[in-house]
Amino acid sequence: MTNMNQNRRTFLKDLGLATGATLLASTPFLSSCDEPKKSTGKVLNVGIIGPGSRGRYLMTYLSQDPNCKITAICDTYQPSIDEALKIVPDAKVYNDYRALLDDRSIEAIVIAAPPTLHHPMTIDSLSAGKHVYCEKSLAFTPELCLDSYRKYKESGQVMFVGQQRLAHPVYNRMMEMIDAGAIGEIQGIRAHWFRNGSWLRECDPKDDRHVNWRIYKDLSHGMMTELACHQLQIGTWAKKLLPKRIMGMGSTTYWKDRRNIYDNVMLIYEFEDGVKMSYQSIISNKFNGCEEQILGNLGTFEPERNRLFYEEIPPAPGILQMINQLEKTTFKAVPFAGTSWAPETAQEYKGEYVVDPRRLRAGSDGTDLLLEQFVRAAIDKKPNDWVAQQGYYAAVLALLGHQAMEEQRVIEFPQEFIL
Amino acid sequence: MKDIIIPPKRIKQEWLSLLGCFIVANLFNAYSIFSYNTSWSELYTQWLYVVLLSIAFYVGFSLLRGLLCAIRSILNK
Repeated sequence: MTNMNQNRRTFLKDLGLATGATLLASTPFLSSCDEPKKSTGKVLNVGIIGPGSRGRYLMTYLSQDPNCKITAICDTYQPSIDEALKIVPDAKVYNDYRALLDDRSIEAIVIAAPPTLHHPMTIDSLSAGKHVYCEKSLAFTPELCLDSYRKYKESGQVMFVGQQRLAHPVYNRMMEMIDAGAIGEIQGIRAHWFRNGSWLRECDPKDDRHVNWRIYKDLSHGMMTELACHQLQIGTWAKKLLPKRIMGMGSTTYWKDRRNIYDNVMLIYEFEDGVKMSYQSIISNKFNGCEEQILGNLGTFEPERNRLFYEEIPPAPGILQMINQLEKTTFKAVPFAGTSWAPETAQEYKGEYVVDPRRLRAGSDGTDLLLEQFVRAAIDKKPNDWVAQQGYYAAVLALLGHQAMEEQRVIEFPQEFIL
Repeated sequence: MKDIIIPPKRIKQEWLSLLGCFIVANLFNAYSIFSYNTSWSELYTQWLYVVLLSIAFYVGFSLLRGLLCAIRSILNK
């Protein structure tokens, strides 16, 4: 037990996240938050496997990167190929990803196929000497995730998983501030993702499982691998610990169609120090949107809103308080005096920005930045273990949560999945 | 229409008045920091409010001078 706890405690510390300096060294994203894409003179040839909606989203960024050229695409679904060719009309088209991997000119692979295919595609791509950017989750089971990670380590190639918040400047700055004690000790983590939509896309019935794979249990773990993995990773990144035990409940409460996945989930991940990370997701109500809350004894971060809220609200500046006081004293006996010209002391605390919004790329959720970092790492042939491990653990956390819901029991984090 | 000539001496007087109002505004800021126990960094972080207050003091002071001038001229008639 002691060894297991020590392993959990040091799993990120050993990767050099203990100090701000090493944080920067292992996550060189902070400096790139507002830099325009620069050409390094080298161009990475990239093949895309699975240019569906997510794949094409990645392609729009990759095609704008002067250091990257999409030279091949692969899919078995012709409409996806047709749409992808609108972005990269000169790309070579494959229907079998193994044939794409045989193309020696391709140096890196972006995998955006459904999650059941991530493991074989990652293994084969790494075996073929390609660098890999694999969309989340890394694989369909914790065992396959571990296998993919081990293959990555053995290959010497670069492997990134599509956990785009890793590259987002707000999240990086937040982690720096947490390390510096800005919110004191973390006492709780809350994450939620609420949407209102069925996930169903219209298509020919014969293509249903191809297009709507998300709603079928044998092809998807639903909200856990599609949504939760992003946010669970933020919790463990902040806490620098893996949870000790996991429990959860899932059900289908609204979208009662042909799907056999949950549309309503709630989970608790408990750390060894008693701190809990809660996760809730519903796709039939969007009121609360998407957010993570890192709750410390001194303050709370809400990174999706780019906000930090201190427990002790800073008072208004003295000069404003003085003016307000004088105004109240002077005008209280004058009934006709109307609206005050002096600004009120803070009535509603809106928190502080984590990062000046003017420094953020408009419309970026970090995907563009993560892809840039991947391209750069692949060109320089510099694997980043920290990034790969974050992707690995994000998937494992989500998959164990899914298992807890399916088996309706509390799961102890298995020792064999700790790297 | 006659040209309005503002003598240099008058201009200097007005600048000195504005400077005086600026000093008073800074003293007001310092006093408010002391009274409300806020951070002394507000001596420079709240410079915009100090500038606005200086202008407000200057306008108020100018109005007062104008009023006194008007009263004096009425009494002299």
